Amino acid sequence: MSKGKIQAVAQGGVCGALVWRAEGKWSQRPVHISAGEMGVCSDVYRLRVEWRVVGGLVGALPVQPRQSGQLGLPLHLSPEELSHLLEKGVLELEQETPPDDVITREQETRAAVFGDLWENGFTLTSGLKYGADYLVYQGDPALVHSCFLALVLPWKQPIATLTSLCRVGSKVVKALLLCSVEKGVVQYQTLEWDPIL
Amino acid sequence: MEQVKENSWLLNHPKLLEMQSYGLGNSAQIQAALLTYLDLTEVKLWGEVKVHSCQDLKIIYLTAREKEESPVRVVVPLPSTEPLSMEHLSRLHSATRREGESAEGRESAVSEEEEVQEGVTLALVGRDSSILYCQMWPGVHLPIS
Repeated sequence: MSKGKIQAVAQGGVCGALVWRAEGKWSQRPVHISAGEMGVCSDVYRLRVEWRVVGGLVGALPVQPRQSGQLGLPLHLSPEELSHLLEKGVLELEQETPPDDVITREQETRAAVFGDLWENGFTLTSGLKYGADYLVYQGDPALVHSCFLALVLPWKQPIATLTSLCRVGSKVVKALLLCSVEKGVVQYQTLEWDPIL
Repeated sequence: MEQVKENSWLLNHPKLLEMQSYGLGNSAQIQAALLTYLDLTEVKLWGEVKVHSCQDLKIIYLTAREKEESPVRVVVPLPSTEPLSMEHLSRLHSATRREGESAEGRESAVSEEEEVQEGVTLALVGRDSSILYCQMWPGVHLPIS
């Protein structure tokens, strides 16, 4: 099992970072994370199993390039995942490109929500497919379904899409988790379609 | 010939007049509250449906029981044309459980002896009068299953 910090290539601005290494060395070999994978010295695998950071594989598989059902290296880390792993001392940036000097309140809120849910034992992935910010899992995404659609919101901004998101949540059997930060504390409201009514 | 006003019976509905008597001035929310009241009493056949006002948030809300032995549920009607923020949603739980005003006079929304279901039920009323009911809990509320 490889030890030490995981190396990643930073992307400037709000793009996050890419992790290329597998099995202790830079590799272009196909890497596919599946349930039950054991004993693989892969930084991508370590991030997922040891640090509950899933990221997203964005590369084409050399043996099966003309499909997008299964993707390979590199693993893309979102800005929240990147900042979270840097804070934990897990990542080492191989190559830095100048980041944006201005961090918006939205980025701060997203990072705070990500960190708070992670500290409470949840695993988060992108919720883009459902029109939300995150999918929240109580375990590894390969083993369980997500239980929440998480939406990160400004504290005082009216929520225009509440009705449509409630309907989406009920259709896909997930509760809606509204997240915001107020005076430095992450606040949550859980909404679920009422089956009785 | 005097034209029949089709909606006059609704405008004179006693519960609508009761809701308007609180002087909250939010006609869209009052309309949503009336539709929710009618849905709970006439369609869902819930019992003990009572109207309450919350002066803090300037809204009308309802308390009701699904069945005779069921706990009291707090139902907050919200028109889809007036979305609330996280700040307002977070205040709904405490505001609807504090002392509120009802038609019978100033009293608590629910008495301390009554069993009240956790959270509030949001009744999201669309422009077409369709109602979507969502249960809302403060914090991260894990699913039972």
